[in-house]
Amino acid sequence: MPDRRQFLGTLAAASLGASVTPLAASANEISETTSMQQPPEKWDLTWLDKLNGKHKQVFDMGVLNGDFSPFLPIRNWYSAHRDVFGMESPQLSAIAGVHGSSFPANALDAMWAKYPIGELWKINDPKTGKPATRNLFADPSPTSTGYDYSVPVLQRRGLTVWQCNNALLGASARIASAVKAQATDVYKELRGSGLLPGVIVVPAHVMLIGLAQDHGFRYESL
Amino acid sequence: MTDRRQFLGTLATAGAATLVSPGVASASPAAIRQKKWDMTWLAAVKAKAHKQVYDMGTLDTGGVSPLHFAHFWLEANKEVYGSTDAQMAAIVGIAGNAFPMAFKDAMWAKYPLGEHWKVDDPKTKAASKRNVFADPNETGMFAAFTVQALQKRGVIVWMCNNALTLISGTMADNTKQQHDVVYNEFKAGLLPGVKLVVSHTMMLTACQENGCAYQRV
Repeated sequence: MPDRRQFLGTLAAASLGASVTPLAASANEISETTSMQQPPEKWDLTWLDKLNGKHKQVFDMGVLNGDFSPFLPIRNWYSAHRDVFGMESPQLSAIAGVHGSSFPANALDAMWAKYPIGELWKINDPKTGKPATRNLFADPSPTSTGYDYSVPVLQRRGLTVWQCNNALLGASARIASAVKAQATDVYKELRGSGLLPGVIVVPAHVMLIGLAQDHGFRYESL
Repeated sequence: MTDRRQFLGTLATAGAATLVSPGVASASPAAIRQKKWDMTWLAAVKAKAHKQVYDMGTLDTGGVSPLHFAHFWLEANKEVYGSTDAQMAAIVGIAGNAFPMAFKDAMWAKYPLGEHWKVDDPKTKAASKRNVFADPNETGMFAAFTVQALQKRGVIVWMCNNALTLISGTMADNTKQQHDVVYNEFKAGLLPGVKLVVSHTMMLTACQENGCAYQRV
């Protein structure tokens, strides 16, 4: 532990940092979003009403890296409920809420290959040691490490995965800036055909985190 | 994503951040998988007036033990509502990120817990070889933040069995020992009163289902 004499100063800084960081991230997303001037759209959120498991959990997905997938605890969540209560879907309802820092997990391999997603999000492929050009979190090979907690396998187990639209706009702008493309074009491509099958685009991660809890979901930050 | 053999190497280079995930249950030998898990203690939690579960995501909260959150939560409820310790349930959920916090000094001395989780001993300024979160000689305000001080007030501290399985497996690989031997050593090396649970992430759900509010630390 650091020196306790630094405690108050550090604590003040840490507290400030803790409150500022999410706001700053939101501000970035808002700024990028606003600059793209997306028109309001109709959002279907009725899917949430259909998730009626006895045990319900929404996972607020954190940062991705190449060592440990944040989707692993979701596999453990399903397995523990199976082992202790003998339950699987639809008795279990789990949601992985994906926003900006975990956006790459929702992108198809083709998007990783076309755009510098691995480089921008600092995700290296353990096979090459270089920025990944494929989605490590959706590796279709049954022999791959992490296959049983890859996104498609968890989806087959009943997991609902959402993608925050604000974060998608932000990610599009980030990618567009890196490859000198139009953010609106990148966004249309990602939104139209660049996400993994079954991923639901939602208006705002932060709104849905609240809404899911309004619907009886428990919360865990990963 | 690394395999288990690379895990400690990864720890050494990437630090405790790689221990965010609470373990690979499927990788554990059947011999160390527990079949029955007692969930009945949650009923007593549900009966309390105020309930909070702490998801321990770090060991570093700016120079003071992250257990101070549980202490101040108890104190605030006492001050505002006049609640007694017996009327409150505070739960400290430990998995990979805060793993070493739950262990006796002997485990810190034998295995490089301080080094891998980047916990320095304030006395030596080097990687700790003892559990600084359970220092029996702690004084002043900080004495209230120790594991045992909180347990005396009724705070429940758990260790995730998935995390225990994964990390003991990695330690076993690194020291060329049998996984079940090291697993049982770590299990016996838990601080008194630490409750072993089936899965950290599942228990976070169960606690909330029983009325606990959730806080990520």
